[in-house]
Amino acid sequence: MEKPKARDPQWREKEPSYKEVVARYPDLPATWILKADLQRRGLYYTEAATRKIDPAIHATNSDVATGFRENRDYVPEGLIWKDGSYLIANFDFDQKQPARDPYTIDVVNDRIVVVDEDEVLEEIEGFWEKPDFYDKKASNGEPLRKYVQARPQRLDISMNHYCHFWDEPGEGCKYCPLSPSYLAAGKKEERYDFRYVKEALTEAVKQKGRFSAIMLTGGSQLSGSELLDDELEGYLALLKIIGEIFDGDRVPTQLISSAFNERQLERLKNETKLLTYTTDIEVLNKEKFEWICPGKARHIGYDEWKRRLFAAVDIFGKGNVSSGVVLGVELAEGKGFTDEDEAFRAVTEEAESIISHGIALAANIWRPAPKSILQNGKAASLDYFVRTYREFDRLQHKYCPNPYTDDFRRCGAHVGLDLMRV
Amino acid sequence: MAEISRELADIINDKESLKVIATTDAQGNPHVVFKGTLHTEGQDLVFYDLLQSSQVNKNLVSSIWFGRKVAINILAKDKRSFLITAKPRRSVTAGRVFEEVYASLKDRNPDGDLNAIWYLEPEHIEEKTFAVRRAEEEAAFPILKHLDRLVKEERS
Ligand code: SF4
Repeated sequence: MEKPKARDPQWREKEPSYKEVVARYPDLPATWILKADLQRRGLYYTEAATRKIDPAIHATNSDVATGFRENRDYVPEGLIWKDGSYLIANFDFDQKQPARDPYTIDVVNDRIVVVDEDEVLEEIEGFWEKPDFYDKKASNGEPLRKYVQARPQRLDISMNHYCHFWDEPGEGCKYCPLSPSYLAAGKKEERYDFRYVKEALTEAVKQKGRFSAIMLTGGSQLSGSELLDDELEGYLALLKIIGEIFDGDRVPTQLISSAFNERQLERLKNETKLLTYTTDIEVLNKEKFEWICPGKARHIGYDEWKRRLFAAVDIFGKGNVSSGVVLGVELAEGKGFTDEDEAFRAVTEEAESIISHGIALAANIWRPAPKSILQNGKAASLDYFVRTYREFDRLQHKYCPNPYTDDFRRCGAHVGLDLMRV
Repeated sequence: MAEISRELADIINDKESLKVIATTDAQGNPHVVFKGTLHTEGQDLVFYDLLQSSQVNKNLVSSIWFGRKVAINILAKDKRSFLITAKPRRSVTAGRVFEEVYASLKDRNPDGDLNAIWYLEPEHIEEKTFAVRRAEEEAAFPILKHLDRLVKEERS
């Protein structure tokens, strides 16, 4: 595949460059700023870099089931940085007409490097390794990796592959490609049989020193005797399976689910060995939330979502609750903020009202994902992400007792939380 | 980059040598810790950090981000000592090598864990053994001496 070209060839003249942003924030590591920009602009592998990917060793991702070496779309799931951190890099970038030119991953003097405008900016340690269980099969003959996926240190279980906020036209979150991808692929199996999830987990943890956390998540399920009860029952069942595998009162686990009420949260706490709970408020502004996440707004509402987050702290304890944020989507074209300074003020003020409860914000960098409603949008400037992350970090150092929530070991998607390493 | 001699590598890799590493945080606060696992791998100094919340790990992350140096001192069992200034070069937190080290540490302490393998690149190496340093100082600066050490012995 050819390197995609930016749809606006003049984009570099319209915003501060990576180097200008580095110079503007001498208290922040340049390599970290580069990581953030890789997530924002995307990346492209040269042939030489592709040859460094060995599917026998590395975890790779491809939608196309053709041969590996011929298929340049076959990308590693993540990069390993020299400081020991990871960067998830399998997410969907716009490969056809991105808003900006992606960075290039190339090989120079046998080293994997990040290049922009012919300049080598950073050396990369390598690609994520695949775990042993990826080569094994479940008792039904299907590959175990179908049921559980791996990051360098985390096992991921996706319970529902479809999100029911999409049942009503126009109610799905506008940045989210989950349900559109599910529908486009013609998939029918919303949930896999938990028996095989158990087989995958049991096999995965035989690899000593590999995994330090299990994360459960999935699309929202609104049904049940009370809103979200069916989703709750599913997670309870999965967590009970986990409880059968591990000793101890609590297992290093994270549930990222819809915002459960107190009764539902109490059940999670009392009936399982779940350690940490996350529910994603996504957009740090009530008005923008209502535009971007209409389903969440209609069924639960911004204020109630926030209140349930705070209630979760009372139940799971400070340091054990976090919330995901799709940072930058508040600036999306349509009804988003039109000014980055205004967005910064609104978002950081709102962030403090949440972080001050000891709730860490796991903020992703929003770049328009193909198949999502906002797929033709344009992500904010690098400066916006860097200064907002910097302020989140100041607040999190002040209020959050647990710097490991959603960190690179447990996730690899939220670069902002790398700053909590020091 | 300074070269680790064969002799020094043997001293560093000797289990009976004492090895300390001094780091600073972003505000310049110093921190010193003994690291029994410090050893050489080629021209790298390598050690295993066992706790994810360790201060040395935080300081090394900050050092690799901002290009700060660390100081290491090795005290051999014969009391020879060496000061090494080094730069953190890479940290390994997952993968085959990590798992091999994790398994070897488990053999020694079944309940132990591993945070990271740190690779440090020596930039400067200096012998700091007291007798060697005193001889150097006396040769270079004869002025640095208490006079009573020079008083002639009384003849009886
Ligand atoms: S709740 Fe929103 S972000 Fe989450 S899966 Fe559904 S549509 Fe996507």
